[in-house]
Amino acid sequence: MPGSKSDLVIVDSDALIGLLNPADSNHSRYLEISEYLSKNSLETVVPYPIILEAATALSRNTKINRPDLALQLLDNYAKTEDKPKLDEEVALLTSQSFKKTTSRKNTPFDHYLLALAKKNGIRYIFSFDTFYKSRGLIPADNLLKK
Amino acid sequence: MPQVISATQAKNQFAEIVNRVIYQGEEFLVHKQGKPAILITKANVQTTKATKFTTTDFLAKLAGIKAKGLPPDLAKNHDKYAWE
Repeated sequence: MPGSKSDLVIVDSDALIGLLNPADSNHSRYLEISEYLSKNSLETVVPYPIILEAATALSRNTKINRPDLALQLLDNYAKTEDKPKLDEEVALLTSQSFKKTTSRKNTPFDHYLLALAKKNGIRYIFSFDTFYKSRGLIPADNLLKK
Repeated sequence: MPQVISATQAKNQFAEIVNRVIYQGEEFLVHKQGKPAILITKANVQTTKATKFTTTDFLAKLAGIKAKGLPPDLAKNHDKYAWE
């Protein structure tokens, strides 16, 4: 149904960083996906914890040391006016999704994002993390293959 | 200088007046009971589309930053970089 939340594309932090980073091996693919979403008026949603996660990766590590980029991320997001409204009551779903035996590769942030997508009926994810695909979300990359 | 017409003329020739205003840029001053009452002129209203900075625009802005010097695997291993 056009305009429903099932048409939304939820964005993970790897996409945010991959778009910023021309050295990333998937950078051109991230760009293609972003342009496709824009040209086809597919609405994206970037949950704020994901912004914080990406900003942390850019600013905290002393070898990367790019608080300037973290600030651009935070600043540009703060200026974003038209954010889709989501049901963010996902604490229980997140805790149910995250298990003691969960792979260390998939952090509570990943489980939070998955829970948020599930709670809101969002089908598409802008990420190359295969975790989401294994849990039933459709990578936005697939939209370009249709 | 607007062309003066009566209210009766305006009523009877309204479609033609509208076309002349739009396509020829003419103006008409309608008189009612001998006095100027209404000016018919081409509207100069710009239709402005409300521009909102959406999350999709936000992604496009990020794509334009082109941050150099970042490790090529940062997106894939951002958790490791953030907390190591």
